[in-house]
Amino acid sequence: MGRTQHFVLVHGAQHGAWCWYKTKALLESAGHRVSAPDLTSAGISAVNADDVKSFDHYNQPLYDVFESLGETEKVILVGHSYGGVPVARVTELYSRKIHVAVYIAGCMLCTEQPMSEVWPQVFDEFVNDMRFNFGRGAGTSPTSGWIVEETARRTYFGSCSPKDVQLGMMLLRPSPFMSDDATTFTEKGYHSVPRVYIKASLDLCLKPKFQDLFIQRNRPQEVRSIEAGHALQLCAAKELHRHLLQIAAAHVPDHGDEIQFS
Amino acid sequence: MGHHFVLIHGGMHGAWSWFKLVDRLQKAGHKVTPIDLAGAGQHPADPNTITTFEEYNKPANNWFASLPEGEKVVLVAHSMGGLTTLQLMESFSSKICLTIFVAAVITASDLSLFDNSLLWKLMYTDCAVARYQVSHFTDGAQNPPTSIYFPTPSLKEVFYSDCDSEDIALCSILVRPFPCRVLKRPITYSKEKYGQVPSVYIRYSKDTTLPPRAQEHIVKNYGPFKEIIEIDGGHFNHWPKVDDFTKLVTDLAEKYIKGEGSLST
Repeated sequence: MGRTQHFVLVHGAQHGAWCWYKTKALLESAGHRVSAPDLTSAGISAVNADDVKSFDHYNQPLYDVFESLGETEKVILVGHSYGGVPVARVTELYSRKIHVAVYIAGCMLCTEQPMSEVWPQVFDEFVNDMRFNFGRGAGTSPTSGWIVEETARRTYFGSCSPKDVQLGMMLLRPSPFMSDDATTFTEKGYHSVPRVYIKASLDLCLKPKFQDLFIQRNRPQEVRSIEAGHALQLCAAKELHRHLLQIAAAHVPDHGDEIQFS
Repeated sequence: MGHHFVLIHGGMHGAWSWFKLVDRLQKAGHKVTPIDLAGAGQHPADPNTITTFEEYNKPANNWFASLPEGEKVVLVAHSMGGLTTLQLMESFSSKICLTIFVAAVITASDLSLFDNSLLWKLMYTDCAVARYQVSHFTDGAQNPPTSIYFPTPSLKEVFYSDCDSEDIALCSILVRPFPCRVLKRPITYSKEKYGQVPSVYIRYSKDTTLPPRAQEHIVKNYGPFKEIIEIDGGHFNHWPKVDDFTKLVTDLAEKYIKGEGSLST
């Protein structure tokens, strides 16, 4: 029986902790601990996306997880899609608490790069399929946005089972637009934590060419690939689980072959 | 013939808990509306602030009020959703052509569940719910609890005896405390309105949440029901057996709804 590891799972835009249900079940069955917070305004959060004041406000539930860790406790941090942006922030803030940061079909931006610089390119094909709320009034920048139903169904949940598509479509919410989500990476902070990128090769949301661009511009220690759509945790949960256990085994010191591959 | 099903979840759950049934019913050509009651699922209210059925049922009442006259739906009510449904049937009897109660809580008119001592005892003595229930007291320790909850490790035993670890993981992420103060509120319903809506009751004989003896008391005392169907399963049997359940509810709709605007006798 392997030593219990603590996995912290960070969902992407419009999603919530719910998207990790299969990963959570698999990791817990294998004896590990899982923290999967709803970021502010996501999942069952009581806050409206238009009322998210800042990137720190958005990330607070994730910061709370890190604040609650024991003195010597370290985690395996996993971010999906836009979740890579909060992952980068906590990697910089809590580098000593993280064994490895894993980006799953994730936005792995460069230092000081906000998502607003990148998203119109990355989502160019369906930037016309997005809708916005202007919580601060007309003529101001949008406070939240979402992808229209048909496009969300196809791009977020491509390769997913019908019941997971249904679940996802019921639970997607508008995502807050935050102008302050850029993080400055330091050697002692962000760059002291090994990174692994897991590509989704059939991704219709964050296309493989953009995943490759992130990888090229900000090289991780390792790149893996799963042949499935964007929501790997829903459409390729078992394969993702094997990758996560292997990554943990490789990056948790003195773990070696103790880890249970089930 | 395609029907419109409106789904009312039980305590702590939300519209999300119907996702498998929604998928199947839509594929079978029906329209489906699962509703988040106040403070449940993705509804933004804090359940600890809800004290009345008026507050709790508001999203469903708003929905029914906006349903155009002449349109009728099939109501499917699970667990504590039964209590909400008593009020919906009374208020909107002309808009509901059939109610399907699924291991649902029903009490007598004008008698709150809390004051229904016999049913309360059958529900809360010597069972998993009684053993594991945790109360929140956001109104102060000297006041009654404001909501109730079950610790994550107890969820399988309390609710999900039939369900697999994946489904249980999903539920553990999405369940929220239930505004227990509503259970002290009576619901008034009458033969003239509530009684005009035909209903059926699906019982789960291995239910660890709403004990079979409580379901027995309910079907004996709070009918009449056009049909009582007994299924050998736990409280969420319609999750692992969603295909059978879909067939059952669509067959019941076909059987008891005889064309638009008419009620079966």
